[in-house]
Amino acid sequence: MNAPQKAKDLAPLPYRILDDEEKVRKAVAIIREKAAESRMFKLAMECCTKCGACINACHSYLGTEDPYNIPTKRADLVRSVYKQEIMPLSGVLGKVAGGIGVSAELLEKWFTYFYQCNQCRRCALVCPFGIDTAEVSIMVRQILAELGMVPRFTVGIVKNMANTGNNMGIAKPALLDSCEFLEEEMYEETGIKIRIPVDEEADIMYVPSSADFFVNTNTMIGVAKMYHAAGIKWTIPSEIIEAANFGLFFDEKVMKEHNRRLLDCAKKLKAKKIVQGECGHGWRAARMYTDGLNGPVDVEIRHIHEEAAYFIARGIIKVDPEKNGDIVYTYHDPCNLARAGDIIEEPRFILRHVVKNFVEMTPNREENFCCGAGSGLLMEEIMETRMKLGKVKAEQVKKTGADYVVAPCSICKAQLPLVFEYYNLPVEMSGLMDLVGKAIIL
Amino acid sequence: MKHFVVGVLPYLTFLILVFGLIYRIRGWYASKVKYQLNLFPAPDTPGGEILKEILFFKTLYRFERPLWVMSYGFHLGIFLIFIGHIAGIAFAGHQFTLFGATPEQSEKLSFAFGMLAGTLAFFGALALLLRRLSGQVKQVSDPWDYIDLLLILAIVTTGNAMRTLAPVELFAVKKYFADLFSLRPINYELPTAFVIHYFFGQILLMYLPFSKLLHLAGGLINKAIILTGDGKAKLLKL
Ligand code: HEM
Repeated sequence: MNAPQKAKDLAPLPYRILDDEEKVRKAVAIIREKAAESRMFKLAMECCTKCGACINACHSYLGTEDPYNIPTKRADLVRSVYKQEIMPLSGVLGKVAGGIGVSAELLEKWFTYFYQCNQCRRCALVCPFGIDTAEVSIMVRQILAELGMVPRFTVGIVKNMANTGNNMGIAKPALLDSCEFLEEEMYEETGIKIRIPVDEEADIMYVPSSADFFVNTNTMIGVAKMYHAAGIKWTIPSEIIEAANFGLFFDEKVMKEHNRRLLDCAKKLKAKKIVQGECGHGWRAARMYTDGLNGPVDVEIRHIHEEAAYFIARGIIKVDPEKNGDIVYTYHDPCNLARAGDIIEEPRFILRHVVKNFVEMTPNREENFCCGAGSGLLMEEIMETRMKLGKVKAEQVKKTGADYVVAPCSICKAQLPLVFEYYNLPVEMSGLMDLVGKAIIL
Repeated sequence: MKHFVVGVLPYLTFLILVFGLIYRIRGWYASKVKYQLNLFPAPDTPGGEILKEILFFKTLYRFERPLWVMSYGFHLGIFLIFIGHIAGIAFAGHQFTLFGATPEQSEKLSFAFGMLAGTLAFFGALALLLRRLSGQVKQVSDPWDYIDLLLILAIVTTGNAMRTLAPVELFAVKKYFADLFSLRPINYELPTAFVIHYFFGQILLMYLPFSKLLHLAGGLINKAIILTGDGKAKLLKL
C-alpha cells in the first residue's frame, strides 16, 4: 500500500484536521449529503450489478493487480458503508449485502485507494450503465477533505494557486522574465519578433499551464508562433496562468474559486474567448463545469487544439510536416481531453498536417488508457504506485514502435518520461503545440 | 400458510412494490445533476442510444462479448417470461388465437415460447452464477449477488416444473387472478407447485425496489446522464 502523505495543515482549505473519533462520527452524514448532491454518485452506490465489465478495463487494476483497484471494488469501499447506513431497509439488508460501518481504518483505506484512481472514466465507458468511478472518486476525495484528509502535495498546489494564480507559485515578475526569455529564444531561432503578451486587452485570453514557462516551454512557443502567424491579438492573464483546476479532483469550492478567477480575468481583459492550453482536466473543468459552477457565461470557451485545427483547415496558418522529420509519432489521448472533453479528432487532424509519420496506438480515442498520473497523482512519495499505474500505457506505446509520443496534457507530460524510463522505452515525448510551433511557416 | 401466500401476501407485495419503486426513484430524482457529466463522443440522439442499450445491451456487446452472450440470453428469457405471464394467464394459453391460430395450436405455441423463455432464463442465470463463482468476478461479489441469482433460479426452476413435470391448469390460475383483482375471497385450493413458485415470485417483487435489481431503472437513468451531451457546437466539424 502506497498512499500520499497527508497534509498536517490544511490552510487555505476551509477544513481542519479531525481526530479519528470525530471523523468516524461525521462520515455517514457527509456521504448522505454527497449522495443528495450528485445523482451519479447516488446511482453508482445503488445500481451496480457487479457484472465485472470494469475489471480489465482499468489500468490501475491491471498495473497494480490489487483487487481494491478494480473500479467496482474500489467503489465498494464506500458502497459497503452506504448499504449499511443509507440504503432503504439497510438495517435488514445491509449486513448480507456486505455492509460495514465506518472505522478510522476504513477511512485510511479510502485515502489509499481513491488516491490510486486516476479519475480517467474508462470504467464509465465500458460499464453497461455508465457507472462512473471517477465521480465516486471525486465525491470520496471530497468527503475525505471534509474529514481533514488531503494529500500534502495537493494542499501545496491549492496554496500556490491562492497566492499566485498558478500551481507552481510563479509571481508576476518571474512570469514576465520568462516570457521575455522565450521571446528572445524565438527571435534567435526565427529572426522575427514574436510576442507573448501579458495582461493586455485582447479578444483572446490564452490560459497556459504554468509548467509551460519552465518545463514544457516549446508548448508555449508553439502557441505564440501560431497566434503570431495567424495575426490575431491574444494575451495571457498573469492572475491565472494555470489551465489546471485541481479542485475538480477533490474539492468543489476550490474548483469554483478557480473557475471564477478565470471568468473574472476574461472580463477584466475584455476577452470574448477563453482558450485553454494543453491541460487535460483543466479543459474538462472549464468546458464541462463552468455553466454549473458560475454560469451562465457569455464568453466562449475553446481548447487550443480547436483553434489550431481551425487555423490549419482554413489556411490561416501554413505548416510544413518536413520540419518535424522522418521519425514516427504516436498520439496519447489524455483522458480528460478525449473521453471527458471531446477533443478527439482535432489533435489527429493537426498531427496529420504537422508530421509525416503518425501511427495510432491501440486502443485509442475515447478508449485510450490513462498515463497513470491523472487526477493529480504527481506526488514523489507514491512513485512506485505511479509506475505501476503507467504500466499499461508503457505497453501500449511499446506496441506502436513509435519514436515519439505526443501527449498534450501537463500531467501526462510530467508522468510519461518517468514511465518510459522505468520501462526502458527509448521514446521522446512532448505536447502537440510544440510540433505545430516547429512545423509552422512564418 | 398457503392461504396467506395466495390470499393476503399478494396485496402486501403489491403495496411494497409500488411504494418501494416510487420511494426509490423519487430519491434518485431528488438528487441533483449539477454539472455536465457526459462522455464523448456524445451521440446525436441519446434516446436512440438508450433504446439500443435496452434492446441489444450495446455496451456489453462492445466491450464484454462473452458476458453479453450470457447476459443477453438471461434477460431475453426474463423478458419473454414477463410478457408470457401476462398474455398466457390473461388468455389462458389462447393468446395466439388473436393471430388466427386454433385454440390447440395456440396452446402448443404458448408452451413452445414458455420452453424457450424458461430455458434461456434458466441457463442464462446458471451461466451467470458459475461465472460469478469463478476467479475475477468472485472478487467483486457480495452475498446478495449470489442470492439474487439463486432466487431467480428458484423461480425459474419451479416455473419450468409447472410447465413440464407438474402441469398446472391455466384456467384455474386465470380464475384465481380474476378473483384476486376483484378482491373476492380465495376459498379454494391451488396446486402446491404454483403456490411455491408464486411465493418466490412475490419475494422477488418485494425485494426488487430495495436492491440492485432496480438497475433496470437506475442503470438507464445513469446511462442517460453519460450519453446526453450539452449540444455545444464545435469550432470545426471534423
Ligand atoms: C431494461 C431492463 C434491463 C436491462 C437493460 C438490464 C441490464 C443488465 C445488465 C447490463 C447487467 C449486467 C450484466 C450481467 O451481469 O448480466 C444486468 C445484470 C443483472 N440483471 Fe438485468 N437488466 C434489465 C432488467 C432486469 C430484470 C427485470 C431482472 C430480473 C428481475 C434483471 C436481473 C438481473 C440480474 C439478477 C443481474 C445480475 C446477473 C449476475 O449476477 O451476473 N435484469 N442487467
